[in-house]
Amino acid sequence: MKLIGLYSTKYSIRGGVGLVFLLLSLIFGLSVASSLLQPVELLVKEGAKRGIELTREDVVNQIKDERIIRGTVSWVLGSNAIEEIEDPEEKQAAEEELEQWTDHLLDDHPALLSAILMILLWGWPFVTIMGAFNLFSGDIQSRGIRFHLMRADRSSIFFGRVLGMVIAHALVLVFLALTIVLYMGAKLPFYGWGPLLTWGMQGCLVLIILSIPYIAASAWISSAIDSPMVSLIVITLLVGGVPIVALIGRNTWEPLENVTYLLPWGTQVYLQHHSLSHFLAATFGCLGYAAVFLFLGHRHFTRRDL
Amino acid sequence: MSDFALEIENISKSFDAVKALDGVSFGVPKGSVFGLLGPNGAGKTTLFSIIASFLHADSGSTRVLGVDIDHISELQGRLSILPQDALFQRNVPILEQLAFFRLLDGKTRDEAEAEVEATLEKVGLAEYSKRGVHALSHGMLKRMGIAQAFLGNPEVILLDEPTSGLDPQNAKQIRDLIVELQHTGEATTVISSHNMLEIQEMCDHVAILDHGKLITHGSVQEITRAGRQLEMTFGRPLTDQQRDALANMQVISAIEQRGPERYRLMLDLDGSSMDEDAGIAAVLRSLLDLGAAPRSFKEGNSLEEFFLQVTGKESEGAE
Repeated sequence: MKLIGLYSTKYSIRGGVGLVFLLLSLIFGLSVASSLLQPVELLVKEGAKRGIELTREDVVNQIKDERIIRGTVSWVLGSNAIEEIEDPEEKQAAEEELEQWTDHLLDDHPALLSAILMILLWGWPFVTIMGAFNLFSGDIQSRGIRFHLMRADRSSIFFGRVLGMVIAHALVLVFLALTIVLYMGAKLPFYGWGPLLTWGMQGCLVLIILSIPYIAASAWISSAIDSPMVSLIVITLLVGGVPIVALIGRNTWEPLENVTYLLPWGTQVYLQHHSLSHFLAATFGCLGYAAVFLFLGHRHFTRRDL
Repeated sequence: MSDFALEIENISKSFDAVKALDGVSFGVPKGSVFGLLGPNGAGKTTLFSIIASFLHADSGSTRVLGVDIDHISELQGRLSILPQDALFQRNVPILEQLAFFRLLDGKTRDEAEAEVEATLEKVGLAEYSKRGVHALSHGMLKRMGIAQAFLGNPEVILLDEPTSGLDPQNAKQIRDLIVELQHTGEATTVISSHNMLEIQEMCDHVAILDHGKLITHGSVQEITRAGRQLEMTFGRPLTDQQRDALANMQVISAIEQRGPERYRLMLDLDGSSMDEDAGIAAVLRSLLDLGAAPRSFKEGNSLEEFFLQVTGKESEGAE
């Protein structure tokens, strides 16, 4: 399994789909970072032009109060949903909770990096499926998988490839996080390397955890569908369709919002929660989803004709 | 210990309404070169895929070297296959790809690479080892497939249509290669084909499938004993008297004119007490007595004749 995992990691990046995934993840990650960095850089530059001598704290406070930063974080955390709560006590509790959570992200840690991580947390599932949709389907279609079937049992092939994809994701995410942190550290020295690196790596870990269930779902679908294109369409419709159906559907029939729990959409935001218990629950939730998808995928892969 | 490298018992497999295999049973003797014959759609590839555990049979059992294929991982490195139409990875260098297969068989990287380089040398692809498969022609890809199948000297090798889609020159190269590699190891090789000449040239045992059913199986000699053929060319056409005299011989069942001076003599060794050598000697003696000295003499394609008899289909070898 380890052997297949390492081979899979090496060639998942070198292959056509691997390169698309690599480019897409870098373009997405760096564009998000750039779109949030630009206004902050402007803010710092303007301050310097005007000759205003700002302390380190002033700059940090200005950044966290920037509309784009605070707005982004509030949106991902679901501030809109609070407005729909009718019970005043419940609403107040939710607002307090949101405030604490926002403070954790904007006060306790570099606000700019938090905002970047929150958008990545929201969009990363779509990048993940672009890398993982072809875990098996292409090789099943070309029958290339048959060369491996003679030499390794199906379970090792299945879990080995999934492991390889997780490692590939981890490597790409570490590279992405380091690039963003190094750029921020060089351009915005007032944050300090320590907090940036720590928070960046924590965010990277969160994104790796988030990738696992989506890789597992892709593995399941990819092992069941022989065509890579159909596999891509199905997994995209599933990952994109779940939040859309929940969002639109709840207006007509409220229980439809629970559709989000078909995938980790309903829980993944808690991976950035300030309380450890919420973080652990979200982590185990993601791993639970992954376990279910892997069970289904493995069961199908080991029983089907290849 | 069984004398069979491969034991197939009552295998059936359907794809929706189509019955691809219907209660197929036979054994492949250890050390033999076994031909699996049948027209297109007979179920050869399906049977190979079941033996290699790519497909699951609806019923029946398959044992390779005494191991049930449900536990195929126990056969790691002992069983290999050249699957029909399976593609190698395009983005991985040939050496890396084949070495990975040997790593999976439990070899170290150095051992794996040394073995792959030696095998690529044998199949004439050594200079392509660092390149991707896109650099290979169709014939070269087949050779790479053969190299993959013979890597590490497995005990049982399955070759599914190894010469399909190749021109005669490349097909001959592949056949020679298989024979050469077969001689260097002591493997049991099973070759599927619908080319009778190819199978008769390489195999000592055969099984014939048609519409998913086993028609017959056994040694080539046993199967073709009743229809052994001799192709002869004479300096001039045989006279009626010479033909009649030959036709009256007990060992000859029929004479067919294939050209102005070329004849095919069908021997029926089952109908006489003679063995093959004695039968041929008797025919030659009679010809000389009749004053018809053959200018050339070769064994005809008896297997094809038999195949046509039992399946009623033209084979590729007849084209």
